[in-house]
Amino acid sequence: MNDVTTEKKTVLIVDDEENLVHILARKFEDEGITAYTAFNGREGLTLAREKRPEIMLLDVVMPEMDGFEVLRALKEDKELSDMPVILLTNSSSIETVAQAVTSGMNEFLVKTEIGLDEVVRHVKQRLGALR
Amino acid sequence: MNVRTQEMSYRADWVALTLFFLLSAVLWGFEDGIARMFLYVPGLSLSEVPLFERTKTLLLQFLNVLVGTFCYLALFQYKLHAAHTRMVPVAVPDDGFLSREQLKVLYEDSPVPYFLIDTTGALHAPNKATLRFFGGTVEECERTNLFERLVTPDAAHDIAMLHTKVERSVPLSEEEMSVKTFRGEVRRVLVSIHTVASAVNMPFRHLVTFVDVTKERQNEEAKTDFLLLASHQLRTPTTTIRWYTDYLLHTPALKLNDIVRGYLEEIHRGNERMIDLVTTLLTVSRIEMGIVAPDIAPVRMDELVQDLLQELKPDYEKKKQHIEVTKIGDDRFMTDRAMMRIAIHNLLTNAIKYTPVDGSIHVYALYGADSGTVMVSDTGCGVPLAEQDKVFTKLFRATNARKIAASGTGLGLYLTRAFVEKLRGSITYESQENVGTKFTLTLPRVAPGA
Repeated sequence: MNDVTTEKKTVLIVDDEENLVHILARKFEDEGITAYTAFNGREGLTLAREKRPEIMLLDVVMPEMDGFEVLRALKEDKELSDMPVILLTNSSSIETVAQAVTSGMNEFLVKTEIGLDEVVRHVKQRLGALR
Repeated sequence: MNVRTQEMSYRADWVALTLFFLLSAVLWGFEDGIARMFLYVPGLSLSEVPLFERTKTLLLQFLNVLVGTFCYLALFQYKLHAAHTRMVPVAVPDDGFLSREQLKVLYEDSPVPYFLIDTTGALHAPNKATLRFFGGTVEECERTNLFERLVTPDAAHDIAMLHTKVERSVPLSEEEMSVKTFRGEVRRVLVSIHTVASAVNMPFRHLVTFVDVTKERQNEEAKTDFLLLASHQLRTPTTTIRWYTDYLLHTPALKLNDIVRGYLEEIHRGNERMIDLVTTLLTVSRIEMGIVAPDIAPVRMDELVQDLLQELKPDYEKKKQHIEVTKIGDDRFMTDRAMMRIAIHNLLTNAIKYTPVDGSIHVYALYGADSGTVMVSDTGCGVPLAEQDKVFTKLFRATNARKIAASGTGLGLYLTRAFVEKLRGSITYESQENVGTKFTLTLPRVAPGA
């Protein structure tokens, strides 16, 4: 049990819905997790390379670069390919789910189906598993 | 009326017309001669008998009108007769078959593209609709090959499949494919190929027909795109409301007073109803557009029912309702889990919602060899007799149900039936007002498509 760190946990939220990003970031900060925010895929990728967050919450439908394009870019980046990503979307269509599965996603949350607390709980669970 | 009689009536039409022109010509051309024969007195000049002149003109005009009227009447009669003959819906020869000429006209002028191919796919005898479809001449069409015109992601495989079918004279019925025209357009087409078995010595003995469905497919795609866009646009604001009210209600540091908390809870509940409504409406639209395909996989029906009862426990416990579950038989099904979950969820939530405090709900599952039945009966308000035939219709809510629960979309049972029928099952119900309702859902053990 010597790997428990006092360092603050970090999450990167990438979503073009600024209202959602704002309240999520506030909730994470309340929970003692540092939240970095980006409002499109390209910005998110740049911030991921710069800040190296422990986990990424990633929206699918976004301008400039969508969630799946970000995922592909992450996989190609040796230093970021292991970063856990939770896909966060409004679409629960079979097509989106299928695309998420083929992109190697193992966690897929539909925004309208879960509350704010549940999002934080999922992130904490993944972060807990990492340490 | 057979073809021969019809042809004769057309001939009569022409005879009447010719007769009319001949008589007119005789009257006008030989007017003078006729006048001389009947009206002039030999040896007298016209100036001496002005009365004859006047009488002659009058009589001739009268005769002209008389004969003209007769001819017109005769022609009109013939026309009527001919028109009547043409109205006969199907004109076939006495032996019951169309003549070779008529068949040729049908083939040539049909709005459906027809052409023949040989086993290599080489095209022959394209009709006019085929030329319009490809946008080329007969020669251009006859130089082309159907198989080479196919544009599919796996063209090689599709061509091999088609080739084998044509070679073995296996009929192809409305197989949807993409075909490239001479204009370079790619059109979606339902292709049917039928082999004329008797024409063994003919190389081009495979008749191909096209049904162009490009427009229909484009409309479907536009609808799907709209639906996905609407789903995204409608869901985002409701998620915003949910997360913000979540934050306000679950952050003790904010120290909300009771009134503010109460109002926020109302906003939260209202928004939850909105989310349910939007999700249901989108599902209904997807079902109606036929873009919801069942995902058939193994499903343990008992597990599904137990999960749902666990999920709904807070609701029925709050109303102190008694839930009884009886199950008989093997609960393994091959069906769509998500669809069945929504269907049974709707039946259970209705039972809980419309059954009073201390009432009872019985879930009775009987699984047979080929099908299974899940019955959900309650001691609720029931459906008034006068409204019972509308229970599964869209947006229907019984008058007594509205009084008990103001909220409700009127789409739950409509969706339940739509899903059950998609899985080739059925749903029926019995109800008595103020006594209770029993829904019986029957499902095949293996849904089609498994």
